[in-house]
Amino acid sequence: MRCPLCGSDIDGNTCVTCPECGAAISGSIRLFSAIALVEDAVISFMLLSMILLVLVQIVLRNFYAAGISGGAEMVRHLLLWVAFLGAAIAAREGKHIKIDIAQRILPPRPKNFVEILTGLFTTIVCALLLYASIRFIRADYGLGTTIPFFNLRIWILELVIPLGYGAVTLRYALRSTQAFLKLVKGM
Amino acid sequence: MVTALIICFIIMTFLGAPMFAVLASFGLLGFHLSGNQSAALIVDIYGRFSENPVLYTIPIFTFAGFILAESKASVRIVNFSQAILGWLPGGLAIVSLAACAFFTTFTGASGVTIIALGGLLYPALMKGKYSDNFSLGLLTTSGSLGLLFFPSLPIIIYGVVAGTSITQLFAAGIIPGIFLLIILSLYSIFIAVRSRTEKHRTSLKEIIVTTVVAKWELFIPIILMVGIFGGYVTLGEIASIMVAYVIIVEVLIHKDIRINQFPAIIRESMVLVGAIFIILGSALALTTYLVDAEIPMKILEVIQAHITSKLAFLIALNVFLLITGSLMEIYGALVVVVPLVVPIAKEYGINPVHLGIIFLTNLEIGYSMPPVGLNLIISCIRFEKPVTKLYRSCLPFIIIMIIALLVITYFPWMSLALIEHFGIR
Repeated sequence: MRCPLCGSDIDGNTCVTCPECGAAISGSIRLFSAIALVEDAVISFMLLSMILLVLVQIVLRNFYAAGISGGAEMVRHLLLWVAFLGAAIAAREGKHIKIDIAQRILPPRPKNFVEILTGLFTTIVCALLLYASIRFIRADYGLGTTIPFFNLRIWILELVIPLGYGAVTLRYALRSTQAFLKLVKGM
Repeated sequence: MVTALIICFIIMTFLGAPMFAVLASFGLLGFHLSGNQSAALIVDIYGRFSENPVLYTIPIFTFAGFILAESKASVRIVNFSQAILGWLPGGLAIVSLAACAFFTTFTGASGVTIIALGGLLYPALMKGKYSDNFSLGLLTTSGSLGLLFFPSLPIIIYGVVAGTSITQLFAAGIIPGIFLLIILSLYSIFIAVRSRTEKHRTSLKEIIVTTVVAKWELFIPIILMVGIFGGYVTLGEIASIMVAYVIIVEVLIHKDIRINQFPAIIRESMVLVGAIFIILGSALALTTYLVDAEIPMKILEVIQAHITSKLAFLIALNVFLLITGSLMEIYGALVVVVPLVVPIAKEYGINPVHLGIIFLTNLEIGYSMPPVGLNLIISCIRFEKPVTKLYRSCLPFIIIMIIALLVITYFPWMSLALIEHFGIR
């Protein structure tokens, strides 16, 4: 399995703590790795469906002069899933793009402190985005809008926005807590 | 209060908070100040993503690029280029440039090129009696070479953010991209002749054999060319055709990739896509606010008080972009800077397509600029060399690329000739 905090490969059965970042492997951590599995499976499914849908449309248009109604719209909504799940996984693996000069040049203790600060900042911003996206979904849920593609309810397709921001929020909250514990313990 | 928040956001940026969070914080503040609900920001992000006809090509092209990088296509491409170009003085260096450009085009300068090709080319260059400094500099700076060739992701992102025709940008990048390759090849020949490197003896048989082996990969640029400029299919369709083709070639024909490797390849490539898109979302929402609040026009007023000529503006822009490129990932730099600069450059009468090529060339160089250009960091890890050694070895390459940049900047026809000649829209 992978450490849900730093993303490094660890043996979940024998390790009690992650050798890379010192995170404790407990029940909740196992829950996170289950979430990670689901994310990986769903993103693969969404990406491959997106590609397949485009290809099917090409064949239908050129050989049968037909098309799937709302197909193009569906493809663009599948993009939302790929993008937001990708962002959630990037948070899991600590691969979000940042200017990392400070973290490169600082010694361990101040670096840890900086990590808490930026982690906290990111958590707050993401929580606000999560709140905003929940309100956005609620509005569309109330309207009951659908897309022509099999009359899917649009709010279901949009669900990935709060899910994605939620996962990112959670992971940065965890990360800063972990950094905080490390600072307190004086590591 | 607002000033304090803005200062706090800027400090967070340089302490290393993720770019998307910084941009979103500015966006949230902007929406709040103009009296909009925060949900409007999500509406904006959602709208920009779900209505754009080209954005969905990015994950598809990236996936195709990562499959290629994971397969043994690199070996086949290098062997083929070696047979065709290896007999030249500096042949192996030119082979490296060409192969790196090919891979960067498909993987979007994410560092994959240096990781995939570095291990193959560095020992070969050392064996060919190229100096250590030259080899390191060559491979480090080549990690972003090829950004100007279609269907590179930074071009698509630029087109989306600047609202410029992507087909035009694809055509515009061809001549400047080849120009960069040629000028770096000439330098390689000069070095090779001076330091008497070994030449590769090529034979007709070798050319035929390597071409046959690499033939499926060699078709990819042709398929793309016909697809993009032929006008029969959309960009999204050509992306899906390409990924299907790459899967058939690498999984069924060459059997380099097994199906059970797919989840890992998808995860790795989609992490890059997710990291780009969440920034893009924040940046597009922020742009909505900036344009509403007429911020670019306010910046323009300040700049126009100091800079009056188009030439002086372009010089200032180049200096600014080189610094930006060395500090930020290309995608961060594109989405943050493009919306601010495009309207300003328009006032100075700069063609938006030409501006795009200037932008991308700058960022390409910025990747290898000290102190923290991304290529330097990746090379530092890949080749296990101190970063200061890399600064020194990249210097001649950076100087040459800056000269090329000046040429590209001051001769707009290099970017625009193909568009005008073929009437590409």
